[in-house]
Amino acid sequence: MNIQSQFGEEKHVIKQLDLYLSQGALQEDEYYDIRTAVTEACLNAMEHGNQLQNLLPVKIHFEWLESRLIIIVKDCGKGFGRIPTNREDDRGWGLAFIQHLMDYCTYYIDLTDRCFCMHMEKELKNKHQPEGL
Amino acid sequence: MDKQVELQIQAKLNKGVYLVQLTGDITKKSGKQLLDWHHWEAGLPGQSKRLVLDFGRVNYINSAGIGDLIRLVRMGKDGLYQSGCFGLNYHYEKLFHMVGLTRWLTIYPSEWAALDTETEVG
Repeated sequence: MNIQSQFGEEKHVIKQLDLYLSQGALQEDEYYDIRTAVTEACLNAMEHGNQLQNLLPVKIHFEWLESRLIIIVKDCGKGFGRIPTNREDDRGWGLAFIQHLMDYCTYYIDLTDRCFCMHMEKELKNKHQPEGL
Repeated sequence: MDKQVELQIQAKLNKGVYLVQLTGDITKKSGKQLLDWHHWEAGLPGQSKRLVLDFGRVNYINSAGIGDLIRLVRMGKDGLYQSGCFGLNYHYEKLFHMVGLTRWLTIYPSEWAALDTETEVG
């Protein structure tokens, strides 16, 4: 799935997660955790990675690996050396949410695609991946 | 993407409580809309000292929106007004706890509890 670098585009991802929820692939608490983590990753990618340049895409890749949902969010930026810790009280909670809500999170530069990747994983309670996903 | 208004805001005084009903999403843009909707630093209309936010029709809140909610309730913390809310999805209740928003914002299980308790506090 690709979205443009414009606030509001991250809501397209919610529709995909709504589909997973309706198919029984996600339980409701998992759905909300993943929804917040992925939309925050998309917002970071759009704003900080692509500098809100509308034509630069943010790519979101969903992959099911047994009971684990893997999500990779890619932008055209250079990323950051380490997770910023200079969070103010009322700003900059996105990365903290991602780390708290997902079971695994890392980030790297993809030298092949020349993009920055946020890689997130969530272990799901439903061990049986629905058909077609 | 949807160009409709992200957030609709309606407010009324009820039992001395300034009840603000929110409908839609709370994001960077609509969070600013909420902050600009009233001159919060001047206090609440009708000399009310109690602000209650109704999240029952809010579907999505992102980190920027939560940041603006923190600013909103902190503006009242020096005696201007107390803040409470109801209708909050358990997920956002978890996030509100995580960011420390619940230090300034009391979460009630229902509108009745929010209005009744807030009235008694005053």
